[in-house]
Amino acid sequence: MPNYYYGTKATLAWILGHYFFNAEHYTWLASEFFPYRLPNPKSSNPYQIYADLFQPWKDRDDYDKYIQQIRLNIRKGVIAQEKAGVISGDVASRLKEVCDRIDIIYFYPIVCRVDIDSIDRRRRQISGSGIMLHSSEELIADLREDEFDILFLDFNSDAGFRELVVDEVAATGTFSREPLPALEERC
Amino acid sequence: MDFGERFDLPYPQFVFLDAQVVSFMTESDNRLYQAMYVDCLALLHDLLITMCTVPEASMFDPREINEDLETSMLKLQEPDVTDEQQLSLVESLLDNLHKNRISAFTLFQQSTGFEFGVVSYRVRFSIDSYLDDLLKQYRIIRYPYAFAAQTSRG
Repeated sequence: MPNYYYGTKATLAWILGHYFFNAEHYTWLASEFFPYRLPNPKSSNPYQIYADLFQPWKDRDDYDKYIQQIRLNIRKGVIAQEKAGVISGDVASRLKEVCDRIDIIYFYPIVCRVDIDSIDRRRRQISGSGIMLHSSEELIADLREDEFDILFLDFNSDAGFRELVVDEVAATGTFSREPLPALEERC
Repeated sequence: MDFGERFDLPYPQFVFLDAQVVSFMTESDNRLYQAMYVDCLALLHDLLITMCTVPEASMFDPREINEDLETSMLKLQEPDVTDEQQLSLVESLLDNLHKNRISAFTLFQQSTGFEFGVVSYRVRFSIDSYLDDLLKQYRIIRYPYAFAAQTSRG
């Protein structure tokens, strides 16, 4: 039986990893989807993160504090990728604008499921609460798309979201337009 | 040791931007200032997020954050505007960043320079308050007209 670990993220984070960061995903993973009785703090609890994203997404509450925080967190990823030379300054500027302005629909939560034993030990980092609290979580900064499944991608009533995310997850390469203008259309 | 005196230390707070500066930044010609300011908010957030009561992992090293803030602030010292009123708004922006950077690093030092491995709850709550205000500032920048309308209604 595979040894599954789970991580929840906003769809926008997956979109940026998939289309702009060489299909590599900066992903925090916990040893259980609901790490009840494990010393994982709220931020290392995929179940809790799912709830914190899903509720404002469902309410379309773009003033929600957690949504502001996730927008800034995704922006930090853009800053890091620009510094690493993965994206140009121009693309980074446009992606930062996307982080600030894109419709909350793109914060729909998805869950990545990874067979952790299939990942080379050297790529598995223990940091944050893993060090401080011995929580059961790891970071994989370059998770590739053949290394995880996406769970709970059950939203397809928005045509733009379906085209950019749902269809693309089902069969990579189906999205034939330029992704950046497609995102900017939703800002 | 006088704990009473230590607990009375004033904890630094996040300083909000003046409404005029927000309005200036969000004009289409000045979006570069907005982008740089929000980058700085993201870096300040990253510095403190590991130290609040609901901590999260950070992405950058504190030294890297300090250097990046320094670079951004140096860029802001060479503004693209020539109009005197606009220059004074850029100066306000820079002053705001300067104060918020000092506050964030003071809180960071207070939370890392703890004794007996215990971070004071006063420091943690002060960091929570700083981060709450930082996120409010970000929201105001994203929705300046909504918040301006709320303010004008009192």
